[in-house]
Amino acid sequence: MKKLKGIMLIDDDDTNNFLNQRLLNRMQITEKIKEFRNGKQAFDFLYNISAGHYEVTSPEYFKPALILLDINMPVMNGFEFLSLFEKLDADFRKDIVLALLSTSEHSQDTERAAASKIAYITKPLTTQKVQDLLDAHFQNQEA
Amino acid sequence: MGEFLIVTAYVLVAGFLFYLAFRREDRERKWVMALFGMIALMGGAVHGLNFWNYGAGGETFHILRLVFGAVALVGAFLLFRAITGLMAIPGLRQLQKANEELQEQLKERENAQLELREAHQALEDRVQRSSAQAITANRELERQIENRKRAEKQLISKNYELIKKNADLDDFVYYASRDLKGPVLNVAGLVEAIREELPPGNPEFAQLFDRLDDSVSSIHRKLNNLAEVSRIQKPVEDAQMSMVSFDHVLQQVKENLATVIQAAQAHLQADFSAAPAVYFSRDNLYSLLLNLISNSIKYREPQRPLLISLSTSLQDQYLVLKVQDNGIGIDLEQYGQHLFSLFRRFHDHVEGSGVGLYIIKRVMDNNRGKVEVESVPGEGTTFLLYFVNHDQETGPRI
Repeated sequence: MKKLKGIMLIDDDDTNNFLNQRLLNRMQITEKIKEFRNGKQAFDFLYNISAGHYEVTSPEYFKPALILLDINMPVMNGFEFLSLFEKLDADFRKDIVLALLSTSEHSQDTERAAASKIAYITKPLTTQKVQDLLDAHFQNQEA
Repeated sequence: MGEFLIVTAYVLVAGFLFYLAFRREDRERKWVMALFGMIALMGGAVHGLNFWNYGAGGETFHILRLVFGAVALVGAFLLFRAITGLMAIPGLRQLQKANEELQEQLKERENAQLELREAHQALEDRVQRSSAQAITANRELERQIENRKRAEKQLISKNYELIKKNADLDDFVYYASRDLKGPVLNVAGLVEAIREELPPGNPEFAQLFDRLDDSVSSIHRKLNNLAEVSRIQKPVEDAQMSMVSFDHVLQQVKENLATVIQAAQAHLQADFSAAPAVYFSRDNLYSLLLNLISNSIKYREPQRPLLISLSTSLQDQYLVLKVQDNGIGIDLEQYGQHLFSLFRRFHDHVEGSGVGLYIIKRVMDNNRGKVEVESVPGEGTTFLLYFVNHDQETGPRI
């Protein structure tokens, strides 16, 4: 399987980011993983990339193929991030897969995710869950 | 000369009588006096004629005397006629007597009037007294009403506070269970990571990890129970209500509990023909059946195969779901009143959280239903769930 261009982990829980990054690293599905502590940090990053405001040569800047998004976060939560993300250029967004990653099994949250047509994964993230997601969204990209 | 004196006397008497007649006020006497006066006058006139023409005869003279005499006679006759009237006129004594009687009557009347006035006064006093009492009573009543109003207001505000506190508590439980989930999952993840990093084959580590896993999953289960409880506290929205088939939900529960049902070798039999569906929230009916059946499995009698029978029936305004098992039963006299309390457990030989029956009770209460339980220790337990029978939504039954 071809490796993903990059993954963004957006979660205010440091340890959760650490564990997810460890899991993804061990699965060896990408070279680039970047962590963000809330929706605003992540959106600023994405916005700069979409607008071309970045150093092309810098390994710190990359356009992600997958974004794993927590719901409850300070400053800007997952759904607020989502509504801003949907305002970005459609061409820019079309090859980015978004998945909500949350402890909440509340129907209010799952219904909202379904309304936005994005994947909803309950924590903890496991190899199996990541694999299911990849199978669902990245099958076609295999070279 | 004699004649002259008599005439004078007659005329004087007549004058007196006429004067009297003129002065008298009662008609009877006026009339009588006038008649006497007339007769006296006539007498006087005859004597006057005699005196005037003493010894002289003549036609005119005789005729005048005759006329006077006739007039006197007529007066006498009239007097006779008036006698009866005169008899009716009371004498002085009679008058005095009548007067006395009248006086007495007057006195009596005065007395009566006095008594009347006294009675009236007494009555008025009484009226005043009683109206004063009424006013006092009225004031007392007003004060009581005021007190009651105040108490009612306090009650309402207390009730409002309670509702708010309850809602806060529900929120607290919900957010606590949600926010604690993350760290617990992290611990589980970290434990797993450590296990992966450590070289395998150390029995000491293996035992420690087993215990760690148990503890973490126990915390996780408890948090899930709390989340479930807080979810159940919230009233169900109308949109979630629909006709739900008992069979479908039971099937779902059986699938979810497949491994435990298998392990316990439980036999389930169901007959929902009397009422195949109920107007309810699907999630809540699922929760009810799941808790009832897993309870029956948990508290089964190991000496005999477990049999759980489910059935529905219609009773008055209720649709009744009956879930009966042949498990170990429960002593209702001892535990009955705490049976549905949160976090109360009556057995420690099996794993449990103490929320199952609480959830059942809450769900039924929230939907204006009720729960009844019958049990004979050593023989089994029967749960009766009374659902409000929404006939209009039920439509025709098969």
